[in-house]
Amino acid sequence: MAKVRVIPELCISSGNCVDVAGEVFDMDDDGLVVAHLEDVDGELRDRAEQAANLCPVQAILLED
Amino acid sequence: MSQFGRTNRIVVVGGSIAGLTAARELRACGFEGTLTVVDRDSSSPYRRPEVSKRLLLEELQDRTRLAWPKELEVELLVPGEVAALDLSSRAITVDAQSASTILPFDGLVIATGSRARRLPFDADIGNVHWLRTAGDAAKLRAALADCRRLCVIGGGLIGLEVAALAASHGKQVMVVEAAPLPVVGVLEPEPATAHLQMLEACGVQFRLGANVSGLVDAGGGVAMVRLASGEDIVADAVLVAVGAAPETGWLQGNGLDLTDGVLCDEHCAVIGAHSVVACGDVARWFNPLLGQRMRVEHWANAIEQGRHAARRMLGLHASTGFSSVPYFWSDQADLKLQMVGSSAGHDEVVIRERGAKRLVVEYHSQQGLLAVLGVNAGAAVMSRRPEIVRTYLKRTASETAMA
Repeated sequence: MAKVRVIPELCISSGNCVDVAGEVFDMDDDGLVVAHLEDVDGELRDRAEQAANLCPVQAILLED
Repeated sequence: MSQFGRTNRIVVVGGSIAGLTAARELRACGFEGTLTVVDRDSSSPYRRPEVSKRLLLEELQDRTRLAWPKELEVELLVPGEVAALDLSSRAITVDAQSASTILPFDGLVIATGSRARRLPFDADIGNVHWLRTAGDAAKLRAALADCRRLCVIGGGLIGLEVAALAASHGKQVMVVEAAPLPVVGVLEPEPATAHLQMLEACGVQFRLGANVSGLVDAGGGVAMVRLASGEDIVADAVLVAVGAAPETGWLQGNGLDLTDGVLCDEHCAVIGAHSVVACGDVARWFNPLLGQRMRVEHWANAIEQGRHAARRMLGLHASTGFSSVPYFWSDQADLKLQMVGSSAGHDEVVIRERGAKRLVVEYHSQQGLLAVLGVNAGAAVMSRRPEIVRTYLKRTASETAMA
């Protein structure tokens, strides 16, 4: 189980997180990242981690 | 932390994203002394990439602003213009509110960014615009509202963003570019051609391989753009988007190497100075990953470099230096370009996918994948980043072995 933390002020709306983990991440009306889920596990955790790796500005953090 | 106790002062010159990030990192790493930030733009900090995007459609609002968090306890000298640096006395001269102040420092973070390049001839005509700040964007936004025909001089990323946005709002848009293709130096001919076709499909027109010989005042503060071919491009508004130059004027006279940015070592420490670091557009540093000196004018770099420079100041930096994989994105109407890596030194360009509004391009060398470019293909680009890093590491290792 990992906690999902997003830092919207770094977000550049690349959309990469939504592409790979749409169940966890979304964009708000301004195109900035929001997390639907606070905790992720299993496959969702893997996808959230992939999203964190795909984020060009490290605006997504997973904390154990 | 030994050299920076409670009473010491670190001055950050430039309060945009690189300076903001450096200030946050200094505090996050436990710096408890005085932290002073000087910036000439009282709107700073904000998301500067929006200057050529959202800020052309709306005023600067909270969603585009970035705040100085209260807990940072930053002393803000805004608007403040740094007139000069005197390294020997370790002080800067700041002109703020019509008074000149001498500000001593123990540590200095240079984060002054860059300014829009000017044209080599007179362009002091009412409807000629440059784009660098939120203020510039506000002026261009007002001009675009009444404009039917826009001429953009320069087919770089900023020029193309404005051109695509204006075309998508029904303006007649002409881009004048000296090179045979837009952004060809970054993308290479075949991908640049594919991208050009997408922009043309959005309604943007181009004059390529075309040089501007002058701006003609057509009366009433309206310029025509005269090309070397003799053609005149008539426009209600003209945007000059011919690149940016690092803001280093205030650093002169201190014996620093200011050739295309202030020269730094691999840790973003300014060469020839003590406890002075630089980050963002203004810094030319040695990137250990690419094995070369470079200067990067992109948002993600400013954030990462701001962090590293702050840690270097406190002696808490990674010993490997600031290794950075170049990354940029550009929103051109409904085309979202992203590129990770650098095409420099490639010997093969492979177009992996090509659709009406989608493109995936790989740049290869003997050692492996160097860069991936995508249009509306973010995940396909960023997922290749580890592979690109491996190529650079392999290359650096083989160069070290040969040396």
